[in-house]
Amino acid sequence: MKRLYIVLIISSALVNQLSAQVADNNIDIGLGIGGSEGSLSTSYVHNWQLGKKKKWSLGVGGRLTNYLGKNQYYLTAPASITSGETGPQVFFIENIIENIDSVQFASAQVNSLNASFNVGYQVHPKVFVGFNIDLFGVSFGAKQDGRYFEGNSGNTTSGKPTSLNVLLISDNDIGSLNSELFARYSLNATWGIKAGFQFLFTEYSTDTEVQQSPEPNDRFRNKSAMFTAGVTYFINKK
Amino acid sequence: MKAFKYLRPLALLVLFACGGEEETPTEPIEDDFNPSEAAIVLKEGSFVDVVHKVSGSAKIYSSNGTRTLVLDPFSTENGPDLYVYLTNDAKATKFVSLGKLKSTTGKQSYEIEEAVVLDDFSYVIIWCQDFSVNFGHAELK
Repeated sequence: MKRLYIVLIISSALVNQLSAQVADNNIDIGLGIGGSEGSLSTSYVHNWQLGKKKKWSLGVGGRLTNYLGKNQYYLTAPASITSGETGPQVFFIENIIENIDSVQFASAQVNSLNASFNVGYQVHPKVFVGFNIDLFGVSFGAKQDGRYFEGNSGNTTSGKPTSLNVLLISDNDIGSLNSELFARYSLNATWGIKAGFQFLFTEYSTDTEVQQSPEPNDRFRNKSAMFTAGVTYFINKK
Repeated sequence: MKAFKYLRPLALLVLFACGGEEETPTEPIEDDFNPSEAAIVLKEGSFVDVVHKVSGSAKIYSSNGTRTLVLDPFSTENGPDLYVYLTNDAKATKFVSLGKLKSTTGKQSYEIEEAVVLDDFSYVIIWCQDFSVNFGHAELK
Protein backbone atom coordinates (compact mmCIF):
# COMPACT_ATOMS: atom_id res chain seq x y z
CA MET A 1 0.00 0.00 0.00
CA LYS A 2 2.88 2.30 0.92
CA ARG A 3 4.40 1.70 -2.49
CA LEU A 4 1.11 2.57 -4.20
CA TYR A 5 1.00 5.94 -2.34
CA ILE A 6 4.56 6.71 -3.42
CA VAL A 7 3.76 5.87 -7.08
CA LEU A 8 0.59 8.01 -6.91
CA ILE A 9 2.44 10.97 -5.38
CA ILE A 10 5.25 10.76 -7.96
CA SER A 11 2.77 10.39 -10.85
CA SER A 12 0.68 13.29 -9.64
CA ALA A 13 3.78 15.48 -9.22
CA LEU A 14 4.91 14.55 -12.73
CA VAL A 15 1.50 15.32 -14.24
CA ASN A 16 1.42 18.69 -12.39
CA GLN A 17 4.93 19.43 -13.56
CA LEU A 18 4.14 18.53 -17.17
CA SER A 19 0.85 20.44 -17.27
CA ALA A 20 2.73 23.54 -16.13
CA GLN A 21 5.08 23.17 -19.09
CA VAL A 22 4.78 24.64 -22.55
CA ALA A 23 3.45 22.00 -24.90
CA ASP A 24 3.74 21.59 -28.60
CA ASN A 25 1.61 19.43 -30.85
CA ASN A 26 2.45 18.36 -34.33
CA ILE A 27 1.60 15.95 -37.09
CA ASP A 28 4.40 14.07 -38.83
CA ILE A 29 4.28 12.26 -42.13
CA GLY A 30 7.37 10.22 -42.95
CA LEU A 31 8.49 7.95 -45.74
CA GLY A 32 10.96 5.16 -45.01
CA ILE A 33 12.89 3.59 -47.87
CA GLY A 34 15.06 0.49 -47.77
CA GLY A 35 16.07 -2.29 -50.17
CA SER A 36 12.81 -3.73 -51.65
CA GLU A 37 10.79 -2.25 -48.80
CA GLY A 38 9.24 0.98 -47.65
CA SER A 39 7.00 2.49 -45.02
CA LEU A 40 4.63 5.39 -44.58
CA SER A 41 4.25 6.71 -41.03
CA THR A 42 1.65 9.18 -39.90
CA SER A 43 2.06 10.38 -36.32
CA TYR A 44 0.40 12.72 -33.88
CA VAL A 45 2.88 14.03 -31.31
CA HIS A 46 2.22 15.89 -28.05
CA ASN A 47 5.47 17.06 -26.48
CA TRP A 48 6.08 18.98 -23.28
CA GLN A 49 9.03 21.33 -23.31
CA LEU A 50 11.14 20.90 -20.23
CA GLY A 51 14.15 22.49 -18.57
CA LYS A 52 15.08 26.06 -17.77
CA LYS A 53 15.57 26.97 -21.42
CA LYS A 54 12.76 24.72 -22.65
CA LYS A 55 15.17 22.88 -24.91
CA TRP A 56 14.22 19.37 -23.86
CA SER A 57 11.01 17.77 -25.07
CA LEU A 58 9.26 14.72 -23.73
CA GLY A 59 5.94 13.43 -24.90
CA VAL A 60 3.52 10.85 -26.11
CA GLY A 61 1.69 10.28 -29.35
CA GLY A 62 0.09 7.85 -31.73
CA ARG A 63 1.48 6.48 -34.96
CA LEU A 64 -0.01 4.63 -37.92
CA THR A 65 2.71 2.77 -39.83
CA ASN A 66 2.04 1.14 -43.19
CA TYR A 67 4.83 -1.20 -44.25
CA LEU A 68 5.28 -2.78 -47.66
CA GLY A 69 8.03 -5.26 -48.48
CA LYS A 70 8.85 -7.40 -51.49
CA ASN A 71 10.29 -10.87 -50.84
CA GLN A 72 11.19 -10.16 -47.25
CA TYR A 73 12.54 -12.80 -44.87
CA TYR A 74 10.89 -13.03 -41.47
CA LEU A 75 13.01 -14.78 -38.83
CA THR A 76 12.01 -16.74 -35.74
CA ALA A 77 10.73 -14.15 -33.24
CA PRO A 78 10.34 -15.46 -29.67
CA ALA A 79 13.29 -14.74 -27.37
CA SER A 80 12.85 -18.17 -25.78
CA ILE A 81 14.01 -19.66 -29.10
CA THR A 82 16.40 -17.01 -30.45
CA SER A 83 18.23 -16.55 -27.13
CA GLY A 84 17.21 -19.67 -25.24
CA GLU A 85 15.74 -17.57 -22.43
CA THR A 86 13.44 -14.63 -21.74
CA GLY A 87 13.86 -11.52 -19.60
CA PRO A 88 15.82 -8.28 -20.02
CA GLN A 89 19.15 -10.13 -20.22
CA VAL A 90 18.34 -11.29 -23.79
CA PHE A 91 19.47 -7.82 -24.94
CA PHE A 92 23.03 -8.88 -24.17
CA ILE A 93 22.82 -12.49 -25.38
CA GLU A 94 23.98 -13.65 -28.82
CA ASN A 95 21.33 -15.31 -30.98
CA ILE A 96 21.43 -19.10 -31.24
CA ILE A 97 21.76 -19.27 -35.03
CA GLU A 98 20.78 -22.94 -35.35
CA ASN A 99 17.42 -22.19 -33.68
CA ILE A 100 16.46 -19.51 -36.19
CA ASP A 101 14.28 -20.44 -39.15
CA SER A 102 12.68 -18.07 -41.64
CA VAL A 103 9.54 -17.41 -43.65
CA GLN A 104 9.84 -15.52 -46.92
CA PHE A 105 6.80 -13.44 -47.88
CA ALA A 106 6.62 -12.35 -51.51
CA SER A 107 4.37 -9.39 -50.65
CA ALA A 108 4.56 -8.40 -47.00
CA GLN A 109 2.10 -5.75 -45.91
CA VAL A 110 1.71 -4.83 -42.26
CA ASN A 111 -0.29 -1.91 -40.86
CA SER A 112 0.14 -0.99 -37.22
CA LEU A 113 -1.45 1.59 -34.95
CA ASN A 114 0.59 2.20 -31.81
CA ALA A 115 0.94 4.59 -28.89
CA SER A 116 4.42 6.08 -28.89
CA PHE A 117 6.93 7.80 -26.62
CA ASN A 118 9.01 10.78 -27.80
CA VAL A 119 12.09 12.57 -26.54
CA GLY A 120 14.07 15.36 -28.17
CA TYR A 121 16.32 18.38 -27.86
CA GLN A 122 16.24 21.80 -29.55
CA VAL A 123 19.88 22.17 -30.63
CA HIS A 124 19.26 25.42 -32.53
CA PRO A 125 16.18 27.67 -32.84
CA LYS A 126 15.41 25.93 -36.13
CA VAL A 127 16.91 22.46 -35.55
CA PHE A 128 15.42 19.74 -33.34
CA VAL A 129 16.80 16.24 -32.88
CA GLY A 130 14.57 13.53 -31.52
CA PHE A 131 13.89 9.88 -30.91
CA ASN A 132 10.56 8.12 -30.75
CA ILE A 133 9.48 4.54 -30.20
CA ASP A 134 6.18 2.64 -30.33
CA LEU A 135 5.00 1.25 -27.00
CA PHE A 136 1.88 -0.82 -27.65
CA GLY A 137 -0.97 -1.14 -30.10
CA VAL A 138 -2.51 -3.33 -32.75
CA SER A 139 -1.58 -4.55 -36.23
CA PHE A 140 -3.68 -5.64 -39.16
CA GLY A 141 -3.22 -6.79 -42.74
CA ALA A 142 -4.24 -9.44 -45.23
CA LYS A 143 -3.20 -13.08 -45.11
CA GLN A 144 -0.13 -13.71 -47.30
CA ASP A 145 1.42 -16.82 -48.79
CA GLY A 146 4.97 -17.47 -47.67
CA ARG A 147 7.76 -20.02 -47.85
CA TYR A 148 9.10 -21.53 -44.65
CA PHE A 149 12.81 -22.39 -44.60
CA GLU A 150 14.46 -24.72 -42.13
CA GLY A 151 18.06 -24.97 -43.23
CA ASN A 152 18.11 -26.20 -46.83
CA SER A 153 14.55 -27.49 -46.88
CA GLY A 154 11.11 -26.02 -46.47
CA ASN A 155 7.51 -25.79 -47.53
CA THR A 156 4.82 -23.28 -48.39
CA THR A 157 2.81 -21.67 -45.60
CA SER A 158 0.66 -18.59 -45.00
CA GLY A 159 0.39 -15.98 -42.28
CA LYS A 160 -1.14 -12.71 -41.04
CA PRO A 161 0.38 -9.80 -39.12
CA THR A 162 0.50 -10.57 -35.38
CA SER A 163 -2.47 -8.65 -33.92
CA LEU A 164 -1.04 -7.35 -30.63
CA ASN A 165 2.05 -5.13 -30.36
CA VAL A 166 3.95 -4.65 -27.10
CA LEU A 167 7.39 -3.12 -26.61
CA LEU A 168 9.39 -5.18 -24.14
CA ILE A 169 13.13 -5.68 -24.51
CA SER A 170 14.94 -6.94 -27.60
CA ASP A 171 13.46 -10.23 -28.90
CA ASN A 172 10.91 -10.21 -26.07
CA ASP A 173 9.00 -7.64 -28.15
CA ILE A 174 5.70 -8.77 -29.57
CA GLY A 175 4.21 -7.61 -32.88
CA SER A 176 5.07 -4.66 -35.10
CA LEU A 177 6.84 -1.63 -33.60
CA ASN A 178 8.43 1.41 -35.19
CA SER A 179 11.13 3.77 -33.94
CA GLU A 180 12.93 6.77 -35.39
CA LEU A 181 16.03 8.84 -34.77
CA PHE A 182 15.71 12.09 -36.66
CA ALA A 183 16.68 15.71 -37.12
CA ARG A 184 14.05 18.31 -38.01
CA TYR A 185 14.49 21.71 -39.57
CA SER A 186 11.72 24.30 -39.04
CA LEU A 187 10.97 26.14 -42.28
CA ASN A 188 8.55 28.48 -40.50
CA ALA A 189 6.09 28.43 -37.57
CA THR A 190 3.84 25.95 -39.41
CA TRP A 191 6.05 23.56 -41.37
CA GLY A 192 9.24 21.59 -40.82
CA ILE A 193 11.12 18.90 -42.71
CA LYS A 194 12.81 15.94 -41.11
CA ALA A 195 15.25 13.20 -42.05
CA GLY A 196 16.72 10.34 -40.13
CA PHE A 197 16.90 6.66 -39.53
CA GLN A 198 13.99 4.30 -38.95
CA PHE A 199 14.15 0.92 -37.24
CA LEU A 200 10.95 -1.00 -37.87
CA PHE A 201 9.98 -4.43 -36.56
CA THR A 202 7.12 -6.15 -38.37
CA GLU A 203 5.82 -9.55 -37.34
CA TYR A 204 3.76 -12.30 -38.96
CA SER A 205 2.04 -15.24 -37.29
CA THR A 206 1.78 -18.30 -39.50
CA ASP A 207 -1.47 -20.29 -39.68
CA THR A 208 0.20 -23.31 -38.10
CA GLU A 209 3.29 -23.74 -35.95
CA VAL A 210 5.52 -24.38 -38.96
CA GLN A 211 8.65 -24.37 -36.83
CA GLN A 212 8.82 -27.40 -34.56
CA SER A 213 12.37 -27.32 -33.25
CA PRO A 214 13.56 -26.54 -30.60
CA GLU A 215 9.93 -25.76 -29.72
CA PRO A 216 6.71 -25.15 -31.71
CA ASN A 217 6.57 -21.59 -33.08
CA ASP A 218 4.34 -19.54 -35.36
CA ARG A 219 5.85 -16.02 -34.85
CA PHE A 220 8.38 -14.57 -37.32
CA ARG A 221 9.89 -11.07 -37.28
CA ASN A 222 11.48 -8.80 -39.87
CA LYS A 223 13.82 -6.03 -38.72
CA SER A 224 14.03 -3.19 -41.25
CA ALA A 225 16.56 -0.41 -41.04
CA MET A 226 15.52 2.38 -43.38
CA PHE A 227 16.33 5.95 -44.18
CA THR A 228 13.38 8.20 -43.47
CA ALA A 229 12.36 11.63 -44.63
CA GLY A 230 9.19 13.57 -43.96
CA VAL A 231 7.32 16.72 -43.16
CA THR A 232 6.01 18.09 -39.87
CA TYR A 233 2.98 20.29 -39.43
CA PHE A 234 3.13 22.30 -36.20
CA ILE A 235 -0.37 22.58 -34.81
CA ASN A 236 0.25 24.99 -31.97
CA LYS A 237 3.87 25.78 -31.43
CA LYS A 238 4.12 28.39 -28.74
CA MET B 1 3.34 22.48 -50.44
CA LYS B 2 6.63 24.26 -50.07
CA ALA B 3 7.95 21.63 -47.68
CA PHE B 4 7.79 18.87 -50.33
CA LYS B 5 10.35 20.75 -52.43
CA TYR B 6 12.97 19.80 -49.85
CA LEU B 7 11.94 16.12 -49.77
CA ARG B 8 12.88 15.38 -53.38
CA PRO B 9 16.68 15.49 -53.05
CA LEU B 10 16.44 13.50 -49.82
CA ALA B 11 14.34 10.78 -51.47
CA LEU B 12 16.83 10.57 -54.39
CA LEU B 13 19.73 10.22 -51.96
CA VAL B 14 17.92 7.39 -50.19
CA LEU B 15 17.11 5.60 -53.49
CA PHE B 16 20.72 5.72 -54.66
CA ALA B 17 21.82 4.26 -51.33
CA CYS B 18 19.93 0.99 -52.04
CA GLY B 19 22.04 -1.93 -53.31
CA GLY B 20 21.58 -4.19 -56.35
CA GLU B 21 20.80 -7.92 -56.53
CA GLU B 22 23.28 -10.74 -57.09
CA GLU B 23 23.19 -12.39 -60.54
CA THR B 24 24.31 -15.97 -61.27
CA PRO B 25 27.71 -16.36 -63.02
CA THR B 26 27.32 -16.70 -66.80
CA GLU B 27 30.78 -18.12 -67.58
CA PRO B 28 30.20 -21.64 -69.06
CA ILE B 29 31.43 -24.39 -66.73
CA GLU B 30 32.38 -28.04 -67.25
CA ASP B 31 32.03 -29.99 -64.02
CA ASP B 32 34.52 -32.84 -63.62
CA PHE B 33 31.86 -35.24 -62.30
CA ASN B 34 32.08 -38.52 -64.19
CA PRO B 35 29.86 -41.39 -63.07
CA SER B 36 31.71 -44.62 -62.40
CA GLU B 37 30.80 -47.75 -64.31
CA ALA B 38 28.91 -48.97 -61.27
CA ALA B 39 26.85 -45.77 -61.03
CA ILE B 40 23.14 -46.07 -61.74
CA VAL B 41 20.67 -43.39 -62.82
CA LEU B 42 17.92 -43.18 -60.20
CA LYS B 43 15.79 -40.49 -61.87
CA GLU B 44 16.02 -38.26 -64.92
CA GLY B 45 14.07 -35.62 -66.81
CA SER B 46 14.26 -32.76 -69.31
CA PHE B 47 13.88 -29.07 -68.49
CA VAL B 48 10.91 -27.09 -69.76
CA ASP B 49 10.39 -23.32 -69.59
CA VAL B 50 8.07 -21.93 -66.90
CA VAL B 51 8.67 -18.19 -66.43
CA HIS B 52 12.04 -18.02 -68.23
CA LYS B 53 13.88 -20.06 -70.84
CA VAL B 54 15.55 -23.15 -69.33
CA SER B 55 16.78 -26.13 -71.33
CA GLY B 56 18.81 -29.30 -70.86
CA SER B 57 18.50 -32.45 -68.85
CA ALA B 58 18.80 -33.53 -65.22
CA LYS B 59 19.96 -36.93 -63.95
CA ILE B 60 20.36 -38.22 -60.42
CA TYR B 61 23.20 -40.75 -60.14
CA SER B 62 23.86 -43.11 -57.26
CA SER B 63 27.43 -44.20 -56.82
CA ASN B 64 29.17 -45.63 -53.74
CA GLY B 65 26.27 -44.52 -51.53
CA THR B 66 26.43 -40.92 -52.79
CA ARG B 67 23.64 -39.38 -54.81
CA THR B 68 24.46 -36.58 -57.22
CA LEU B 69 22.25 -34.43 -59.42
CA VAL B 70 23.93 -33.64 -62.72
CA LEU B 71 22.67 -30.97 -65.11
CA ASP B 72 24.16 -31.75 -68.53
CA PRO B 73 23.61 -30.17 -70.97
CA PHE B 74 22.17 -27.15 -69.27
CA SER B 75 21.28 -23.54 -70.02
CA THR B 76 19.04 -20.94 -68.40
CA GLU B 77 18.28 -17.25 -68.64
CA ASN B 78 19.98 -15.32 -65.89
CA GLY B 79 18.29 -13.93 -62.81
CA PRO B 80 19.03 -12.87 -59.25
CA ASP B 81 19.59 -15.46 -56.53
CA LEU B 82 19.01 -18.62 -58.64
CA TYR B 83 18.96 -21.92 -56.72
CA VAL B 84 18.62 -25.59 -57.63
CA TYR B 85 15.67 -27.13 -55.78
CA LEU B 86 14.37 -30.67 -55.52
CA THR B 87 10.61 -30.34 -55.05
CA ASN B 88 7.49 -32.44 -54.71
CA ASP B 89 5.56 -30.45 -57.34
CA ALA B 90 5.96 -27.65 -59.88
CA LYS B 91 4.92 -25.05 -57.25
CA ALA B 92 7.64 -26.14 -54.84
CA THR B 93 5.14 -26.76 -52.04
CA LYS B 94 7.83 -28.86 -50.34
CA PHE B 95 11.46 -28.43 -51.31
CA VAL B 96 15.12 -29.10 -50.60
CA SER B 97 17.70 -26.61 -51.80
CA LEU B 98 20.81 -28.18 -53.32
CA GLY B 99 22.56 -24.83 -53.38
CA LYS B 100 23.06 -21.81 -55.59
CA LEU B 101 23.12 -22.44 -59.32
CA LYS B 102 26.82 -22.52 -60.23
CA SER B 103 26.44 -21.10 -63.73
CA THR B 104 23.74 -20.31 -66.27
CA THR B 105 25.47 -22.58 -68.82
CA GLY B 106 27.33 -25.88 -68.80
CA LYS B 107 27.63 -29.20 -67.02
CA GLN B 108 27.27 -28.94 -63.23
CA SER B 109 26.71 -31.35 -60.34
CA TYR B 110 25.08 -31.05 -56.91
CA GLU B 111 25.42 -33.61 -54.11
CA ILE B 112 22.19 -34.68 -52.43
CA GLU B 113 22.32 -35.05 -48.64
CA GLU B 114 21.85 -38.51 -47.18
CA ALA B 115 18.77 -37.39 -45.20
CA VAL B 116 16.81 -36.48 -48.34
CA VAL B 117 14.15 -39.08 -49.15
CA LEU B 118 14.25 -39.08 -52.94
CA ASP B 119 10.77 -40.63 -53.29
CA ASP B 120 9.32 -37.38 -51.84
CA PHE B 121 10.70 -35.28 -54.70
CA SER B 122 9.85 -35.54 -58.37
CA TYR B 123 11.00 -32.21 -59.82
CA VAL B 124 14.22 -30.24 -60.23
CA ILE B 125 13.45 -26.53 -60.33
CA ILE B 126 15.65 -23.57 -61.18
CA TRP B 127 14.23 -21.30 -58.51
CA CYS B 128 14.70 -17.56 -58.15
CA GLN B 129 14.70 -17.19 -54.37
CA ASP B 130 14.64 -13.38 -54.42
CA PHE B 131 11.34 -13.30 -56.26
CA SER B 132 9.90 -16.78 -55.49
CA VAL B 133 9.74 -17.62 -59.20
CA ASN B 134 10.07 -20.99 -60.96
CA PHE B 135 12.32 -20.24 -63.96
CA GLY B 136 11.95 -23.75 -65.39
CA HIS B 137 11.79 -27.32 -64.22
CA ALA B 138 12.47 -30.94 -65.13
CA GLU B 139 10.04 -33.62 -64.03
CA LEU B 140 12.03 -36.59 -62.79
CA LYS B 141 10.97 -40.13 -63.66
